[in-house]
Amino acid sequence: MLEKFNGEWTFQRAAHLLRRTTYGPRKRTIQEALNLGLDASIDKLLSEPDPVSLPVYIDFEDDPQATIGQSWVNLPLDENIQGIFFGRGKTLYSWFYDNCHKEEFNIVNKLSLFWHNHFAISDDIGPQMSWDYLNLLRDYSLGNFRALTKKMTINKAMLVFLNGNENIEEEPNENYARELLELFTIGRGPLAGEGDYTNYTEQDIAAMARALTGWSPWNDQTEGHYRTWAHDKTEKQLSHRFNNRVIEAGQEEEEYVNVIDIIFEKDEVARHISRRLFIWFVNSDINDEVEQEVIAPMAQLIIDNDYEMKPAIKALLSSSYFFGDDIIGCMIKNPLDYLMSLTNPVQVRVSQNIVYNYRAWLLWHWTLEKMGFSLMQLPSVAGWKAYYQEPGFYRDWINSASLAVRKKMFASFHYLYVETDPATTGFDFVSYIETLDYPLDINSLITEVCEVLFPKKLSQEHIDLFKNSVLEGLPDFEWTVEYDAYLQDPTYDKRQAIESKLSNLFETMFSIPEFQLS
Amino acid sequence: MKRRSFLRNTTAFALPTLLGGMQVTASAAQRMAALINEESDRVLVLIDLNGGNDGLNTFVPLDGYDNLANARPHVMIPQSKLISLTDTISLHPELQGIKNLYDNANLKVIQGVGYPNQNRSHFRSADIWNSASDTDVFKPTGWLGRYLDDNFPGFPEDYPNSDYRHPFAITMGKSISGTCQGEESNFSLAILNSNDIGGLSTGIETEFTDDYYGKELAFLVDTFKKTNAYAEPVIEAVENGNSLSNAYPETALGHQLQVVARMISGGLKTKIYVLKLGGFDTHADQVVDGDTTQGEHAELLSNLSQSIEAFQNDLKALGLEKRVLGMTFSEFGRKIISNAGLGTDHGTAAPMMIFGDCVIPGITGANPEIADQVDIDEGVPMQYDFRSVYGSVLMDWFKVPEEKVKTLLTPDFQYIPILGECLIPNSTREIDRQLRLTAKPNPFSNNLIIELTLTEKASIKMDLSDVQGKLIRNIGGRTLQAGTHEVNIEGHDLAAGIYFVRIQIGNESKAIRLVKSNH
Repeated sequence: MLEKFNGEWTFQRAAHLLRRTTYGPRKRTIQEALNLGLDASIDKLLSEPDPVSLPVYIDFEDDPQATIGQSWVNLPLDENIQGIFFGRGKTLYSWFYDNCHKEEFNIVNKLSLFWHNHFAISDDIGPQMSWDYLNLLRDYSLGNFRALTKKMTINKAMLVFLNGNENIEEEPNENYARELLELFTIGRGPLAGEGDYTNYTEQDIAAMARALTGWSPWNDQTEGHYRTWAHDKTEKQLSHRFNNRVIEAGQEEEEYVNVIDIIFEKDEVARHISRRLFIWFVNSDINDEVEQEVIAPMAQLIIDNDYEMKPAIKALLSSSYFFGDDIIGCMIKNPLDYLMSLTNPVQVRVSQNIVYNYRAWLLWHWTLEKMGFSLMQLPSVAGWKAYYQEPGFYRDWINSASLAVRKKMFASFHYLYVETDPATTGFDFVSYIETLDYPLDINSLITEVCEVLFPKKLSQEHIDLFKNSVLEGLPDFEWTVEYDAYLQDPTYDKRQAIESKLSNLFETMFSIPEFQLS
Repeated sequence: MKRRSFLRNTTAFALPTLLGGMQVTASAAQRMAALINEESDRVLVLIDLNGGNDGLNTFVPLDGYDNLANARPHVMIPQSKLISLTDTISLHPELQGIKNLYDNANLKVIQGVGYPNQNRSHFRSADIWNSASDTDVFKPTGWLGRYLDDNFPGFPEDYPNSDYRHPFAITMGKSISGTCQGEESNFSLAILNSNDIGGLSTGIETEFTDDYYGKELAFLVDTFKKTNAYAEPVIEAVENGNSLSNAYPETALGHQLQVVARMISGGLKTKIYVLKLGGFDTHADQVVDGDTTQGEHAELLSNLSQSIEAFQNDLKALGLEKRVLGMTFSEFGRKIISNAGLGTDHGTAAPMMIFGDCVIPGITGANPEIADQVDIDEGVPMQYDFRSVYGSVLMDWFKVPEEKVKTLLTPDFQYIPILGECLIPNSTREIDRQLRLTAKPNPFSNNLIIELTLTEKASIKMDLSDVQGKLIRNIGGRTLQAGTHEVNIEGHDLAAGIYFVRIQIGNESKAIRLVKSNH
């Protein structure tokens, strides 16, 4: 059994839970979790999310069936219309980020991204297939792993990406079968002999590839369809790694289900996915202790629940290991997390107009791409290096070029939001601090903000550094005087003066190395 | 714990799997003297043609032109539109700049470069080209990273320092290059925009806790500091440096090469620059319908050719031409046949270009043989192992001894002369003599005999690959006396189809296309 956390439920721990399961938690959300307590917070995080709105056109005007502000999802696509693929496809990025921004108290977006990284794709597959793929991840984010794997095996985007569409009886293509075993389900073990990867062998790849022949994405439905002419109808012999099982002949379109069921009979599948979840939510170091005390009980929970993932994820997030002092803050934020931790906690006012709002997210998308985070275009089928590449793991996000981009993002806010909607301003720190408990007191203001922004308590020297960025050596009470003067007589000039001081403060906070950690 | 000693500990802690538990810094310190000649100010510029460049439409083999036109009707460029280079090779019409480099004796082309046992996956192939590993081996380090590790043990801990203020390598782009990945850290500084690096705030220095959080924070602080420290001389060099060419195209590559010229002329001592030109994965729309001289591939080659020519001329104008060597690489070539989408699919080997004032100019290796019946999966077979090109560059340009090259890259390393004494233009070009080899019978059904004539005693290596470049077997190395020899290859167990036998003798290699028939 995974040891459950039974320590004191504090603001810092509630914030840790939300940082790892949502994007850039706001103070109000952390406070709510604190009031709810650990169990109720996790129940809320893992509850069924409300339906989200469909992606809408943001600038494409040439589709006679839908115009700007309306959704294109499930509408036929006329390939002759110039630019329609891109006009639709790019709105999916905005849709995804907007969900991360809005769904404050639900794990669904962190889990969707987990599955996106797990069943990684990187292909120009067209907007409808991309939508169906993203929707599948969302629908199954807390569902049954085996069922998701079955769905993914005949998912159209995946059929294109790993050449399932070319996998026909005459010329079997092993790409999907190989990744299915190596990355998606059981995982590659140590090399035990030629073509023998402990958990499976080359023979199994070849046999399963043949069993998966016959599927094509080229249709008008949401899933691939089966073509009996392209299917290898002979029986397939598996290796001793699968107990010399035979995939029986003549199962036709049910055969892929049988393949997945055979793989999932192996307990190693549960351990493999547990390790992936651990790296995603907890830490990159899977040592013997973690194997025994976290991975093994998680895997057992997954097996006991017939590959329903919710109980294991719940146990992981409620565990004493997850709330370990050195686990809090040990993960370098990926670029999306970084963006959201600039946007959400200080309550940047995004446009209320969905079109303008989507345009702003799209501009951020190009920034994220510059830092190596490209939704739907993962660097490889193994996903982002940060979640598998030893020994650096999360450190892969950090280099001199990506740091230059991270640094510049602060300055982009104003421009980016005013550009997309003149009614917004990007950062609005004056409005934000009004939501704090004691904004008139500079020490209280800084401490309160730090609790939300940083995973660990910072030193007094840090507090002094931040204070100095506002007061530049003046005594503390000068802040109270200036801010009070503004409150008494909120003229534009006074507001701007306060905003500019606060801008210095937040830029200093966002710039220190500690802010890169979650 | 103090920061420095803590970093030492984390280093040893993080790497037992890579080095069998040895402490990296300790073992590295025991290594012999550095191989890099400190006086050397030589610079290597790599251009990654990402996606898999279609070598057959880059350097078009004229001896196989008609068969090629049959096999790839959708993308074939009319012979009249090509730029003539040699009697047997013409260039894509957009490669006038490359032609000029060749005419000025500044270009060496090595034909049929690939890796053994081709995989045809982008990701895996790119990893192989970066790491210079065998196909079935996963090496975490890059080929240049290993070279630099050997010379600068202890990196990154004690760097930059007063002796080495400048970054060892620079990647122009958003990510650090896998070629420069060392055992502990990547040697390259990534620069997206040279006006905008460094200046990172490290906040307040505190002692790092000895736990996961402390380790990640220590890494961040260290990276912030190194970025700032390395940014300083880079910014200085860009400011002090110069560019005397206005012929660079208005492209990212053109701009980046111009910045590289500025950095070199501004005194930056960086030894390696890595640039990337993406978009070569031309499955579709490689050419436009109705005009095969236009299209995505034409745009890419135009950009590449103009950028390289401008760079080379800029270096000459700046008086730096003898200090810089450039090299292109790409993860694989493309199939011989074209597809109906006006493109070409993943293939096997392709030519590499090496440019600079000091190359031995000319063409190394033979044109690929294009048969009248081309298999749908057939690519250009590997003639030269890419690690032989890398290693020859290390030997000739960075003066790395051959034995060291073999440990860094592969024991199968084959030296290919790359550099002359910075030859003057229009001097005699070395065109490789063709190996005298024949295979008989071809097509074959059972056994096959390779006949070869040697003018002197030589050791040879042979291997056999299938139509997709997958290694079937190593036929083994042996030493033969001068004279004519017959090497027997057992072929009765091979399935019918196309095969390639590759023979390596001394500095030369050749691949012969074989057809196995059913009867």
